[in-house]
Amino acid sequence: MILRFTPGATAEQREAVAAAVRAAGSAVLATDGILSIDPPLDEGQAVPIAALPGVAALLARDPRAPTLRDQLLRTTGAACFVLGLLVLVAAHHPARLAGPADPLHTPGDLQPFWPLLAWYGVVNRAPGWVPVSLLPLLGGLVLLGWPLIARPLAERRPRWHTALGAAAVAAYLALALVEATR
Amino acid sequence: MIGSALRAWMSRPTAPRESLLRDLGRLAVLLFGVEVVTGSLLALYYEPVPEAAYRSVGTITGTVTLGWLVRSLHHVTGHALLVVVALFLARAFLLRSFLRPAGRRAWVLAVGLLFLAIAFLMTGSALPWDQEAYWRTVITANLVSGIPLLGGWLADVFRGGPEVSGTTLVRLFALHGLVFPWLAFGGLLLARRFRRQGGMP
Repeated sequence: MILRFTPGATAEQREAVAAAVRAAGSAVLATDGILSIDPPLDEGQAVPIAALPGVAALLARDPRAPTLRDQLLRTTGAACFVLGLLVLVAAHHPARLAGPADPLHTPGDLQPFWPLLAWYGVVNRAPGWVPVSLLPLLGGLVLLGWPLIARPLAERRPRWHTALGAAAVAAYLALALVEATR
Repeated sequence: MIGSALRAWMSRPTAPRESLLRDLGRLAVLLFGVEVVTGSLLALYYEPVPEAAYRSVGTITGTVTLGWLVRSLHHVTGHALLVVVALFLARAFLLRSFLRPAGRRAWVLAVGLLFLAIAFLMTGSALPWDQEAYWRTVITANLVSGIPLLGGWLADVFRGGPEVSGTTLVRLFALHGLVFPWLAFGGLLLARRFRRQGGMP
């Protein structure tokens, strides 16, 4: 429940209203000209408090709080926007269908799909002594265990932590890009 | 009577929520929903047999009304889902939400969902069984088999034998259409629970 003060309400009037609400057994929270009341007052308590000097209105709910209708409209609108965007991209870039699979004929431009491009690039370019097959396993384990591994760094040097993450993402993207344009 | 009850219910105040476009968790759920719907439509026509798979995808693309759009939408949304999960993880990284105990569990779950989104794409991209899909599957199987300890086993699960064949297609279809969706559904339910505990950014 919300109580709105008149613009000219004095500090004494505000304090008297808050005291009356507290006396009725509710907690109050004062924020710029508005008093949030919890639990709400019943009618018998609300009428005399609404008549106190300095009170402009006593409302059942905070008019600034969104209703379920507002939320549903906003969410539906955003979902339609996302779906529209996806349909637009799908219509402009339809999924391709190459010729039927032929295990006897190897195409010249072989590439895995994009999330694995960086790994494929490392496999193709790394010198023989680098244990490239270990990289995905290590990468996966590091990513899973990051909260434990990076805890000291993230707590003491957050900027270094961010820089490390940015460097890792940049390296991954650069490798993938180099492999994609090969 | 019902109308006024509905109006009263719709007029209830709710806690302010972040917009769907900024809430990556809810956005991922929406994209997963699109994948389920479009995937179910595609499954009505798709035949997971090497000789028929290519033909059935051709039918979907060329003959079925708006089939090309549903297929493309499924394709694009799969990539978008992977990007959204990666962004979700990047945000958890930048906000360092994994320093909280609930955030740690949420981080592990998000990494699991990222791997799952990659696995979804990997298995799905093989299903048209065209020249590109076949050879991409061969490369992926070779890459996976090189991983120490787990690689051989994973590649065998992936291929259903020593080489990519018709069994591979059936396996990939089963993983893509039956196993992974349930795993993703369970993961999203768990994410919702973690979110209520304050672990999700």
